[in-house]
Amino acid sequence: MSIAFLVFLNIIFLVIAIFFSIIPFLTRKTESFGVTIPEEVYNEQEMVSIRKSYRNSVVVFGIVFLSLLNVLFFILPSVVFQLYYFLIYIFELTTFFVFYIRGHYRMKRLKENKKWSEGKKEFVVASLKSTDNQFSPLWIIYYLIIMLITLWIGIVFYDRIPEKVVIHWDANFNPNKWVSKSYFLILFPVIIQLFFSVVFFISYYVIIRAREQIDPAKPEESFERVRIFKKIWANFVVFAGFLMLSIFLFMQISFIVNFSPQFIMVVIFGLTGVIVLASFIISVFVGQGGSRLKLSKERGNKDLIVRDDDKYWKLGVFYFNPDDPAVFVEKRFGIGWTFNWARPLSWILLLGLFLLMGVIMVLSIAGLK
Amino acid sequence: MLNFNLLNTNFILLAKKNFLIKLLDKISPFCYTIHITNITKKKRKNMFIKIDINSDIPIYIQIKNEIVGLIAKGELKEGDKLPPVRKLAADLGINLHTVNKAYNILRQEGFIRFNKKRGTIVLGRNINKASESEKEKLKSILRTVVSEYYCKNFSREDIKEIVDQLYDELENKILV
Repeated sequence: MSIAFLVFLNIIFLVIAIFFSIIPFLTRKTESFGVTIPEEVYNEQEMVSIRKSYRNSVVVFGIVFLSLLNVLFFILPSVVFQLYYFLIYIFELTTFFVFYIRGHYRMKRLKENKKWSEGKKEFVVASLKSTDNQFSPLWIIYYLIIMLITLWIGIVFYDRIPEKVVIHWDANFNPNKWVSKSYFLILFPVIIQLFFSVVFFISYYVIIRAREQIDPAKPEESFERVRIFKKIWANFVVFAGFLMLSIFLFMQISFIVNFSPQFIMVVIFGLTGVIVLASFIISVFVGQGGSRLKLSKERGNKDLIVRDDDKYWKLGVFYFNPDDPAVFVEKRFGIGWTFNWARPLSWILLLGLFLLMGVIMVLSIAGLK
Repeated sequence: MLNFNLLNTNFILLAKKNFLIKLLDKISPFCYTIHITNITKKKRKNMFIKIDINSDIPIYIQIKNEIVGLIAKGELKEGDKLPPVRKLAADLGINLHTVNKAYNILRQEGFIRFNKKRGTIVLGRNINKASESEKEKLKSILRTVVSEYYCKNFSREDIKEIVDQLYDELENKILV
Protein backbone atom coordinates (compact mmCIF):
# COMPACT_ATOMS: atom_id res chain seq x y z
CA MET A 1 0.00 0.00 0.00
CA SER A 2 1.23 3.47 -0.76
CA ILE A 3 2.82 5.81 1.72
CA ALA A 4 0.48 8.56 0.42
CA PHE A 5 -2.41 6.64 1.91
CA LEU A 6 -0.64 6.44 5.28
CA VAL A 7 0.10 10.15 5.22
CA PHE A 8 -3.56 10.77 4.50
CA LEU A 9 -4.65 8.61 7.46
CA ASN A 10 -2.17 10.40 9.72
CA ILE A 11 -3.49 13.80 8.71
CA ILE A 12 -7.09 12.83 9.45
CA PHE A 13 -6.03 11.40 12.78
CA LEU A 14 -4.10 14.52 13.75
CA VAL A 15 -6.91 16.88 12.75
CA ILE A 16 -9.33 14.99 15.01
CA ALA A 17 -6.85 14.81 17.91
CA ILE A 18 -5.77 18.45 17.73
CA PHE A 19 -9.34 19.66 17.49
CA PHE A 20 -10.45 17.61 20.48
CA SER A 21 -7.50 18.77 22.55
CA ILE A 22 -8.38 22.45 22.10
CA ILE A 23 -12.20 22.31 22.42
CA PRO A 24 -12.31 23.32 26.13
CA PHE A 25 -10.34 26.44 25.21
CA LEU A 26 -12.79 27.43 22.48
CA THR A 27 -16.07 27.35 24.43
CA ARG A 28 -17.91 30.32 25.81
CA LYS A 29 -16.47 31.56 29.09
CA THR A 30 -19.81 30.90 30.77
CA GLU A 31 -19.55 27.15 30.38
CA SER A 32 -16.89 24.52 30.67
CA PHE A 33 -17.18 20.79 29.92
CA GLY A 34 -20.91 21.20 29.46
CA VAL A 35 -21.43 22.86 32.84
CA THR A 36 -22.73 26.42 33.33
CA ILE A 37 -20.34 28.65 35.26
CA PRO A 38 -20.05 32.37 36.02
CA GLU A 39 -17.59 33.98 33.63
CA GLU A 40 -15.14 35.25 36.25
CA VAL A 41 -14.30 31.74 37.50
CA TYR A 42 -13.27 30.57 34.03
CA ASN A 43 -9.63 31.32 34.75
CA GLU A 44 -9.51 30.00 38.32
CA GLN A 45 -6.71 27.58 39.15
CA GLU A 46 -8.89 24.49 39.45
CA MET A 47 -10.73 25.21 36.21
CA VAL A 48 -7.47 25.66 34.33
CA SER A 49 -6.13 22.42 35.78
CA ILE A 50 -9.21 20.43 34.66
CA ARG A 51 -8.84 21.81 31.15
CA LYS A 52 -5.12 21.11 31.04
CA SER A 53 -5.50 17.61 32.41
CA TYR A 54 -8.08 16.88 29.69
CA ARG A 55 -5.81 18.31 27.01
CA ASN A 56 -2.80 16.31 28.23
CA SER A 57 -4.79 13.07 28.25
CA VAL A 58 -5.96 13.71 24.70
CA VAL A 59 -2.42 14.48 23.54
CA VAL A 60 -0.86 11.43 25.23
CA PHE A 61 -3.50 9.00 24.00
CA GLY A 62 -3.48 10.67 20.63
CA ILE A 63 0.23 9.85 20.33
CA VAL A 64 -0.38 6.26 21.50
CA PHE A 65 -3.15 5.67 18.94
CA LEU A 66 -1.21 7.40 16.20
CA SER A 67 1.81 5.15 16.84
CA LEU A 68 -0.51 2.16 16.84
CA LEU A 69 -1.96 3.23 13.49
CA ASN A 70 1.49 3.51 11.94
CA VAL A 71 2.82 0.28 13.44
CA LEU A 72 -0.25 -1.69 12.33
CA PHE A 73 0.14 -0.26 8.87
CA PHE A 74 3.54 -1.89 8.55
CA ILE A 75 2.99 -5.18 10.40
CA LEU A 76 -0.52 -6.13 9.28
CA PRO A 77 -1.19 -7.57 5.80
CA SER A 78 -2.54 -4.69 3.77
CA VAL A 79 -5.85 -6.47 3.08
CA VAL A 80 -6.51 -6.77 6.80
CA PHE A 81 -5.38 -3.23 7.49
CA GLN A 82 -7.67 -1.79 4.83
CA LEU A 83 -10.62 -3.59 6.35
CA TYR A 84 -10.05 -2.63 9.97
CA TYR A 85 -8.10 0.65 10.12
CA PHE A 86 -11.30 2.61 10.72
CA LEU A 87 -11.57 0.91 14.12
CA ILE A 88 -8.63 3.00 15.33
CA TYR A 89 -10.62 6.14 14.62
CA ILE A 90 -13.56 4.76 16.55
CA PHE A 91 -11.26 3.96 19.50
CA GLU A 92 -9.73 7.41 19.20
CA LEU A 93 -13.11 9.17 19.33
CA THR A 94 -14.44 6.95 22.12
CA THR A 95 -11.38 7.58 24.26
CA PHE A 96 -11.60 11.32 23.77
CA PHE A 97 -15.27 11.24 24.69
CA VAL A 98 -14.42 9.32 27.87
CA PHE A 99 -11.89 12.05 28.73
CA TYR A 100 -14.57 14.65 28.14
CA ILE A 101 -16.98 12.79 30.45
CA ARG A 102 -14.32 12.72 33.15
CA GLY A 103 -13.83 16.47 32.77
CA HIS A 104 -17.60 16.95 32.83
CA TYR A 105 -18.01 15.16 36.15
CA ARG A 106 -14.98 16.87 37.70
CA MET A 107 -16.48 20.21 36.69
CA LYS A 108 -19.86 19.24 38.13
CA ARG A 109 -18.31 18.30 41.46
CA LEU A 110 -16.30 21.50 41.55
CA LYS A 111 -19.44 23.51 40.90
CA GLU A 112 -21.31 21.76 43.70
CA ASN A 113 -18.52 22.48 46.16
CA LYS A 114 -17.88 26.07 45.20
CA LYS A 115 -21.43 27.45 45.04
CA TRP A 116 -20.35 30.25 42.68
CA SER A 117 -23.85 31.37 41.87
CA GLU A 118 -24.75 32.41 45.39
CA GLY A 119 -25.76 36.04 45.60
CA LYS A 120 -26.10 36.26 41.83
CA LYS A 121 -29.23 36.48 39.75
CA GLU A 122 -30.03 34.20 36.86
CA PHE A 123 -31.23 36.19 33.90
CA VAL A 124 -32.20 35.48 30.34
CA VAL A 125 -31.76 38.18 27.76
CA ALA A 126 -33.12 38.54 24.25
CA SER A 127 -32.27 41.16 21.69
CA LEU A 128 -35.12 43.05 20.06
CA LYS A 129 -32.97 43.43 16.98
CA SER A 130 -32.32 40.23 15.09
CA THR A 131 -29.14 39.15 13.37
CA ASP A 132 -31.07 37.65 10.50
CA ASN A 133 -31.26 40.79 8.36
CA GLN A 134 -27.62 40.14 7.47
CA PHE A 135 -28.55 36.93 5.68
CA SER A 136 -29.93 36.28 2.25
CA PRO A 137 -30.29 32.75 0.87
CA LEU A 138 -29.82 33.97 -2.72
CA TRP A 139 -26.53 32.10 -2.91
CA ILE A 140 -28.58 29.02 -3.77
CA ILE A 141 -28.72 30.52 -7.28
CA TYR A 142 -24.94 30.08 -7.60
CA TYR A 143 -25.40 26.44 -6.65
CA LEU A 144 -28.09 25.98 -9.27
CA ILE A 145 -25.78 27.48 -11.88
CA ILE A 146 -23.00 25.03 -10.96
CA MET A 147 -25.47 22.14 -11.18
CA LEU A 148 -26.68 23.32 -14.60
CA ILE A 149 -23.09 23.61 -15.84
CA THR A 150 -22.36 20.09 -14.58
CA LEU A 151 -25.42 18.73 -16.36
CA TRP A 152 -24.68 20.71 -19.51
CA ILE A 153 -21.08 19.42 -19.71
CA GLY A 154 -22.35 15.87 -19.34
CA ILE A 155 -24.89 16.25 -22.13
CA VAL A 156 -22.68 18.13 -24.58
CA PHE A 157 -19.66 15.84 -24.20
CA TYR A 158 -21.63 12.61 -23.80
CA ASP A 159 -20.05 11.14 -26.95
CA ARG A 160 -16.56 11.58 -25.56
CA ILE A 161 -17.20 9.50 -22.44
CA PRO A 162 -15.55 6.05 -22.75
CA GLU A 163 -17.71 2.90 -22.58
CA LYS A 164 -16.31 2.03 -19.13
CA VAL A 165 -15.55 4.68 -16.53
CA VAL A 166 -13.35 4.10 -13.51
CA ILE A 167 -15.02 5.29 -10.32
CA HIS A 168 -12.77 3.82 -7.67
CA TRP A 169 -9.08 3.14 -7.14
CA ASP A 170 -7.29 1.13 -4.49
CA ALA A 171 -4.61 2.60 -2.27
CA ASN A 172 -1.99 2.04 -4.99
CA PHE A 173 -3.97 4.00 -7.58
CA ASN A 174 -4.97 0.86 -9.47
CA PRO A 175 -8.52 1.04 -10.75
CA ASN A 176 -10.74 -1.50 -9.04
CA LYS A 177 -14.26 -0.38 -9.90
CA TRP A 178 -15.82 0.47 -13.22
CA VAL A 179 -19.28 1.45 -14.38
CA SER A 180 -20.77 1.46 -17.84
CA LYS A 181 -21.55 4.62 -19.69
CA SER A 182 -25.19 5.61 -19.34
CA TYR A 183 -27.36 8.70 -19.06
CA PHE A 184 -27.60 8.01 -15.36
CA LEU A 185 -23.83 8.31 -15.15
CA ILE A 186 -23.84 11.96 -16.21
CA LEU A 187 -26.83 12.60 -13.98
CA PHE A 188 -25.10 11.08 -10.98
CA PRO A 189 -22.79 14.03 -10.11
CA VAL A 190 -25.79 16.36 -10.37
CA ILE A 191 -27.82 14.18 -7.99
CA ILE A 192 -24.99 14.27 -5.45
CA GLN A 193 -24.73 18.03 -5.94
CA LEU A 194 -28.43 18.31 -5.29
CA PHE A 195 -28.02 16.29 -2.12
CA PHE A 196 -25.21 18.52 -0.89
CA SER A 197 -27.18 21.65 -1.80
CA VAL A 198 -29.97 20.40 0.47
CA VAL A 199 -27.51 19.55 3.25
CA PHE A 200 -25.80 22.93 3.06
CA PHE A 201 -29.07 24.78 2.80
CA ILE A 202 -30.32 23.07 5.96
CA SER A 203 -27.05 23.91 7.73
CA TYR A 204 -27.44 27.53 6.68
CA TYR A 205 -31.04 27.53 7.86
CA VAL A 206 -29.98 26.09 11.22
CA ILE A 207 -27.41 28.85 11.65
CA ILE A 208 -29.74 31.76 10.93
CA ARG A 209 -32.55 30.25 13.00
CA ALA A 210 -30.39 29.24 15.94
CA ARG A 211 -30.99 30.88 19.28
CA GLU A 212 -29.13 34.13 19.79
CA GLN A 213 -27.69 33.29 23.14
CA ILE A 214 -26.86 36.48 25.01
CA ASP A 215 -24.87 36.86 28.20
CA PRO A 216 -26.97 38.95 30.64
CA ALA A 217 -23.79 40.36 32.21
CA LYS A 218 -22.85 42.11 28.96
CA PRO A 219 -25.61 41.99 26.38
CA GLU A 220 -24.17 44.45 23.83
CA GLU A 221 -20.85 42.71 23.55
CA SER A 222 -22.21 39.19 23.45
CA PHE A 223 -24.83 40.13 20.85
CA GLU A 224 -22.05 41.44 18.62
CA ARG A 225 -20.08 38.24 19.15
CA VAL A 226 -23.06 36.07 18.25
CA ARG A 227 -23.77 38.21 15.20
CA ILE A 228 -20.25 37.85 13.82
CA PHE A 229 -20.10 34.18 14.83
CA LYS A 230 -23.27 33.43 12.89
CA LYS A 231 -22.23 35.48 9.88
CA ILE A 232 -18.83 33.80 9.62
CA TRP A 233 -20.21 30.28 9.85
CA ALA A 234 -23.07 31.02 7.49
CA ASN A 235 -20.52 32.29 4.98
CA PHE A 236 -18.38 29.26 5.63
CA VAL A 237 -21.30 26.95 4.87
CA VAL A 238 -21.89 28.71 1.55
CA PHE A 239 -18.18 28.55 0.75
CA ALA A 240 -17.80 24.89 1.75
CA GLY A 241 -20.87 23.91 -0.26
CA PHE A 242 -19.46 25.75 -3.24
CA LEU A 243 -16.22 23.73 -3.04
CA MET A 244 -18.20 20.53 -2.47
CA LEU A 245 -20.27 21.14 -5.60
CA SER A 246 -17.09 21.95 -7.50
CA ILE A 247 -15.68 18.54 -6.58
CA PHE A 248 -18.62 16.90 -8.37
CA LEU A 249 -18.32 19.26 -11.29
CA PHE A 250 -14.73 18.06 -11.48
CA MET A 251 -15.98 14.46 -11.28
CA GLN A 252 -18.18 15.07 -14.33
CA ILE A 253 -15.20 16.51 -16.21
CA SER A 254 -13.06 13.52 -15.18
CA PHE A 255 -15.53 11.21 -16.98
CA ILE A 256 -14.72 13.02 -20.19
CA VAL A 257 -11.06 13.99 -19.82
CA ASN A 258 -8.76 11.15 -18.89
CA PHE A 259 -7.04 12.58 -15.80
CA SER A 260 -4.44 10.55 -13.96
CA PRO A 261 -5.76 9.07 -10.70
CA GLN A 262 -3.05 10.96 -8.79
CA PHE A 263 -4.32 14.26 -10.18
CA ILE A 264 -7.91 13.36 -9.29
CA MET A 265 -6.86 12.49 -5.74
CA VAL A 266 -4.92 15.73 -5.36
CA VAL A 267 -7.90 17.80 -6.50
CA ILE A 268 -10.45 15.97 -4.33
CA PHE A 269 -8.32 15.85 -1.20
CA GLY A 270 -7.02 19.35 -1.84
CA LEU A 271 -10.53 20.82 -1.95
CA THR A 272 -11.68 18.76 1.04
CA GLY A 273 -8.53 19.83 2.87
CA VAL A 274 -9.32 23.48 2.24
CA ILE A 275 -12.77 22.97 3.80
CA VAL A 276 -11.35 21.23 6.87
CA LEU A 277 -8.53 23.74 7.29
CA ALA A 278 -10.88 26.71 6.94
CA SER A 279 -13.28 25.34 9.55
CA PHE A 280 -10.37 24.69 11.87
CA ILE A 281 -8.99 28.21 11.52
CA ILE A 282 -12.41 29.77 12.02
CA SER A 283 -13.02 27.63 15.11
CA VAL A 284 -9.77 28.77 16.67
CA PHE A 285 -10.04 32.46 15.84
CA VAL A 286 -13.74 32.94 16.43
CA GLY A 287 -14.45 30.48 19.24
CA GLN A 288 -17.85 29.18 20.24
CA GLY A 289 -20.44 31.95 20.15
CA GLY A 290 -17.71 34.35 18.98
CA SER A 291 -16.07 34.07 22.39
CA ARG A 292 -12.54 34.41 21.06
CA LEU A 293 -13.15 37.42 18.85
CA LYS A 294 -11.18 40.45 19.92
CA LEU A 295 -13.90 42.99 20.50
CA SER A 296 -14.02 46.00 22.74
CA LYS A 297 -15.06 44.80 26.17
CA GLU A 298 -18.31 45.94 27.68
CA ARG A 299 -18.23 46.80 31.35
CA GLY A 300 -21.21 44.76 32.33
CA ASN A 301 -23.08 43.81 35.44
CA LYS A 302 -21.27 40.90 37.06
CA ASP A 303 -24.16 40.09 39.39
CA LEU A 304 -26.16 38.73 36.50
CA ILE A 305 -25.37 35.22 35.32
CA VAL A 306 -26.73 33.05 32.56
CA ARG A 307 -29.55 30.68 33.34
CA ASP A 308 -28.39 27.37 34.69
CA ASP A 309 -30.01 24.81 32.41
CA ASP A 310 -27.51 22.04 33.10
CA LYS A 311 -30.26 19.57 33.97
CA TYR A 312 -31.50 19.70 30.36
CA TRP A 313 -28.04 18.90 28.98
CA LYS A 314 -27.61 15.16 29.26
CA LEU A 315 -23.91 14.47 29.81
CA GLY A 316 -23.44 18.13 28.97
CA VAL A 317 -23.80 17.31 25.27
CA PHE A 318 -27.38 16.33 24.42
CA TYR A 319 -29.99 19.02 24.91
CA PHE A 320 -33.47 17.82 25.77
CA ASN A 321 -35.79 20.53 27.02
CA PRO A 322 -39.51 20.21 26.22
CA ASP A 323 -40.21 23.66 27.70
CA ASP A 324 -37.84 25.42 25.32
CA PRO A 325 -39.33 26.37 21.94
CA ALA A 326 -35.85 26.77 20.44
CA VAL A 327 -34.94 23.94 18.06
CA PHE A 328 -31.36 24.90 17.25
CA VAL A 329 -29.07 25.92 20.09
CA GLU A 330 -25.36 26.49 20.54
CA LYS A 331 -23.32 23.44 21.50
CA ARG A 332 -21.82 23.39 24.96
CA PHE A 333 -18.70 21.41 24.13
CA GLY A 334 -17.54 22.03 20.60
CA ILE A 335 -18.11 24.55 17.88
CA GLY A 336 -21.42 25.15 16.18
CA TRP A 337 -25.00 24.24 16.94
CA THR A 338 -26.95 21.24 18.08
CA PHE A 339 -30.59 20.24 18.27
CA ASN A 340 -33.09 20.42 21.07
CA TRP A 341 -34.00 16.75 20.96
CA ALA A 342 -37.32 17.42 22.65
CA ARG A 343 -38.53 19.18 19.49
CA PRO A 344 -39.99 17.00 16.72
CA LEU A 345 -38.39 19.18 14.02
CA SER A 346 -34.94 17.98 15.17
CA TRP A 347 -35.91 14.38 14.53
CA ILE A 348 -37.71 15.19 11.29
CA LEU A 349 -34.58 16.89 9.96
CA LEU A 350 -32.32 14.06 11.06
CA LEU A 351 -34.54 11.32 9.68
CA GLY A 352 -35.16 13.29 6.50
CA LEU A 353 -31.43 13.53 5.94
CA PHE A 354 -30.93 9.79 6.49
CA LEU A 355 -33.84 9.05 4.19
CA LEU A 356 -32.36 11.27 1.49
CA MET A 357 -28.99 9.54 1.88
CA GLY A 358 -30.68 6.16 1.61
CA VAL A 359 -32.58 7.15 -1.52
CA ILE A 360 -29.40 8.38 -3.18
CA MET A 361 -27.52 5.22 -2.24
CA VAL A 362 -30.27 2.98 -3.63
CA LEU A 363 -30.46 5.14 -6.75
CA SER A 364 -26.74 4.98 -7.39
CA ILE A 365 -26.57 1.24 -6.79
CA ALA A 366 -29.50 0.67 -9.15
CA GLY A 367 -28.41 3.20 -11.74
CA LEU A 368 -24.65 2.70 -11.93
CA LYS A 369 -23.73 -0.68 -13.31
CA MET B 1 -17.29 53.72 3.81
CA LEU B 2 -17.12 49.97 3.91
CA ASN B 3 -16.01 48.00 6.85
CA PHE B 4 -14.68 44.57 6.01
CA ASN B 5 -14.28 42.52 9.10
CA LEU B 6 -12.31 39.40 8.27
CA LEU B 7 -11.34 37.30 11.28
CA ASN B 8 -10.87 40.25 13.59
CA THR B 9 -8.99 42.34 11.12
CA ASN B 10 -10.67 45.46 9.99
CA PHE B 11 -10.13 46.53 6.44
CA ILE B 12 -11.68 49.85 5.82
CA LEU B 13 -12.37 50.71 2.23
CA LEU B 14 -13.79 53.91 0.93
CA ALA B 15 -16.73 53.70 -1.36
CA LYS B 16 -18.66 56.73 -2.35
CA LYS B 17 -21.36 55.06 -4.33
CA ASN B 18 -24.12 53.27 -2.55
CA PHE B 19 -24.58 50.73 -5.30
CA LEU B 20 -21.06 49.43 -4.75
CA ILE B 21 -21.94 48.64 -1.16
CA LYS B 22 -25.05 46.82 -2.27
CA LEU B 23 -23.17 44.92 -4.95
CA LEU B 24 -20.48 43.81 -2.51
CA ASP B 25 -23.13 42.74 -0.06
CA LYS B 26 -24.75 40.59 -2.75
CA ILE B 27 -21.58 38.79 -3.74
CA SER B 28 -20.16 38.69 -0.24
CA PRO B 29 -20.52 34.92 0.24
CA PHE B 30 -17.97 34.50 -2.48
CA CYS B 31 -15.45 37.07 -1.39
CA TYR B 32 -15.54 35.52 2.04
CA THR B 33 -15.92 38.84 3.71
CA ILE B 34 -17.46 38.50 7.09
CA HIS B 35 -19.68 41.46 7.15
CA ILE B 36 -20.06 44.56 5.17
CA THR B 37 -21.76 47.33 6.99
CA ASN B 38 -22.54 50.72 5.75
CA ILE B 39 -21.07 52.53 8.70
CA THR B 40 -21.99 55.93 7.42
CA LYS B 41 -25.55 54.96 8.23
CA LYS B 42 -26.32 55.97 11.76
CA LYS B 43 -26.49 52.91 13.92
CA ARG B 44 -29.26 52.67 16.44
CA LYS B 45 -28.51 51.22 19.81
CA ASN B 46 -29.63 47.69 20.24
CA MET B 47 -32.32 46.96 22.80
CA PHE B 48 -32.57 43.99 25.10
CA ILE B 49 -35.24 42.38 27.18
CA LYS B 50 -33.95 41.10 30.49
CA ILE B 51 -35.91 38.54 32.43
CA ASP B 52 -35.20 37.46 35.97
CA ILE B 53 -35.91 33.73 35.92
CA ASN B 54 -36.31 33.24 39.66
CA SER B 55 -38.30 36.40 40.33
CA ASP B 56 -41.76 36.34 41.94
CA ILE B 57 -43.02 38.53 39.12
CA PRO B 58 -44.47 36.35 36.35
CA ILE B 59 -42.39 36.31 33.17
CA TYR B 60 -45.17 37.69 30.94
CA ILE B 61 -45.46 40.70 33.25
CA GLN B 62 -41.69 41.17 33.12
CA ILE B 63 -41.74 41.10 29.31
CA LYS B 64 -44.59 43.59 29.24
CA ASN B 65 -42.80 45.87 31.73
CA GLU B 66 -39.56 45.76 29.76
CA ILE B 67 -41.28 46.74 26.53
CA VAL B 68 -43.36 49.49 28.17
CA GLY B 69 -40.13 50.78 29.73
CA LEU B 70 -38.39 50.92 26.34
CA ILE B 71 -41.37 52.71 24.80
CA ALA B 72 -41.49 55.21 27.66
CA LYS B 73 -37.79 55.98 27.30
CA GLY B 74 -38.32 56.50 23.60
CA GLU B 75 -35.91 53.73 22.65
CA LEU B 76 -38.73 51.84 20.98
CA LYS B 77 -40.35 54.28 18.59
CA GLU B 78 -43.57 54.33 16.67
CA GLY B 79 -43.38 51.92 13.73
CA ASP B 80 -40.61 49.77 15.20
CA LYS B 81 -41.05 46.07 14.85
CA LEU B 82 -41.04 43.66 17.75
CA PRO B 83 -39.58 40.19 17.18
CA PRO B 84 -42.08 37.45 16.26
CA VAL B 85 -43.49 35.58 19.25
CA ARG B 86 -41.70 32.40 18.23
CA LYS B 87 -38.31 34.05 17.95
CA LEU B 88 -38.52 35.96 21.22
CA ALA B 89 -39.67 32.81 23.01
CA ALA B 90 -36.83 30.79 21.50
CA ASP B 91 -34.22 33.41 22.35
CA LEU B 92 -35.46 33.63 25.94
CA GLY B 93 -35.97 29.87 26.14
CA ILE B 94 -39.49 30.24 27.52
CA ASN B 95 -42.92 29.01 26.52
CA LEU B 96 -44.57 30.52 23.43
CA HIS B 97 -47.76 31.20 25.37
CA THR B 98 -45.90 33.37 27.86
CA VAL B 99 -44.69 35.72 25.14
CA ASN B 100 -48.08 35.58 23.46
CA LYS B 101 -49.75 36.62 26.69
CA ALA B 102 -47.38 39.57 27.10
CA TYR B 103 -47.99 40.69 23.49
CA ASN B 104 -51.75 40.39 23.90
CA ILE B 105 -51.74 42.54 27.01
CA LEU B 106 -49.56 45.11 25.24
CA ARG B 107 -52.02 45.16 22.37
CA GLN B 108 -55.03 45.53 24.64
CA GLU B 109 -53.35 48.44 26.38
CA GLY B 110 -52.60 50.12 23.07
CA PHE B 111 -48.82 49.86 23.00
CA ILE B 112 -48.55 47.64 19.96
CA ARG B 113 -50.66 46.38 17.10
CA PHE B 114 -50.53 43.24 15.01
CA ASN B 115 -50.21 43.56 11.28
CA LYS B 116 -50.57 40.52 9.06
CA LYS B 117 -47.86 41.61 6.67
CA ARG B 118 -45.45 43.49 8.88
CA GLY B 119 -45.73 41.60 12.14
CA THR B 120 -45.94 43.26 15.53
CA ILE B 121 -45.64 47.03 15.35
CA VAL B 122 -44.97 49.45 18.20
CA LEU B 123 -47.45 52.31 18.43
CA GLY B 124 -45.15 54.48 20.49
CA ARG B 125 -45.89 56.82 23.36
CA ASN B 126 -48.47 59.58 23.47
CA ILE B 127 -50.50 57.70 20.90
CA ASN B 128 -53.36 56.53 22.99
CA LYS B 129 -55.27 58.24 25.69
CA ALA B 130 -55.87 56.05 28.69
CA SER B 131 -59.45 54.92 29.05
CA GLU B 132 -61.31 55.31 32.32
CA SER B 133 -60.79 51.70 33.26
CA GLU B 134 -57.07 51.94 32.48
CA LYS B 135 -56.76 55.09 34.56
CA GLU B 136 -58.41 53.26 37.41
CA LYS B 137 -56.11 50.27 36.99
CA LEU B 138 -52.93 52.38 36.98
CA LYS B 139 -54.18 54.30 39.97
CA SER B 140 -54.74 51.12 41.90
CA ILE B 141 -51.18 49.96 41.11
CA LEU B 142 -49.88 53.31 42.32
CA ARG B 143 -52.07 53.08 45.39
CA THR B 144 -50.40 49.81 46.39
CA VAL B 145 -46.95 51.33 45.87
CA VAL B 146 -47.75 54.52 47.78
CA SER B 147 -49.28 52.47 50.59
CA GLU B 148 -46.10 50.48 50.88
CA TYR B 149 -44.00 53.68 50.97
CA TYR B 150 -46.42 55.12 53.54
CA CYS B 151 -46.07 52.08 55.78
CA LYS B 152 -42.31 52.41 55.60
CA ASN B 153 -42.43 56.00 56.74
CA PHE B 154 -41.77 57.85 53.49
CA SER B 155 -43.03 61.41 53.55
CA ARG B 156 -45.18 62.96 50.85
CA GLU B 157 -42.09 64.89 49.66
CA ASP B 158 -39.94 61.75 49.57
CA ILE B 159 -42.41 60.03 47.31
CA LYS B 160 -42.79 63.08 45.09
CA GLU B 161 -39.05 63.31 44.74
CA ILE B 162 -38.83 59.68 43.69
CA VAL B 163 -41.55 60.17 41.11
CA ASP B 164 -39.80 63.27 39.77
CA GLN B 165 -36.57 61.38 39.49
CA LEU B 166 -38.22 58.52 37.60
CA TYR B 167 -39.91 61.00 35.30
CA ASP B 168 -36.58 62.70 34.62
CA GLU B 169 -35.04 59.36 33.75
CA LEU B 170 -37.67 58.82 31.09
CA GLU B 171 -37.04 62.25 29.64
CA ASN B 172 -33.32 61.62 29.64
CA LYS B 173 -32.60 64.47 32.03
CA ILE B 174 -30.50 62.13 34.11
CA LEU B 175 -28.30 59.46 32.65
CA VAL B 176 -29.09 56.10 34.14
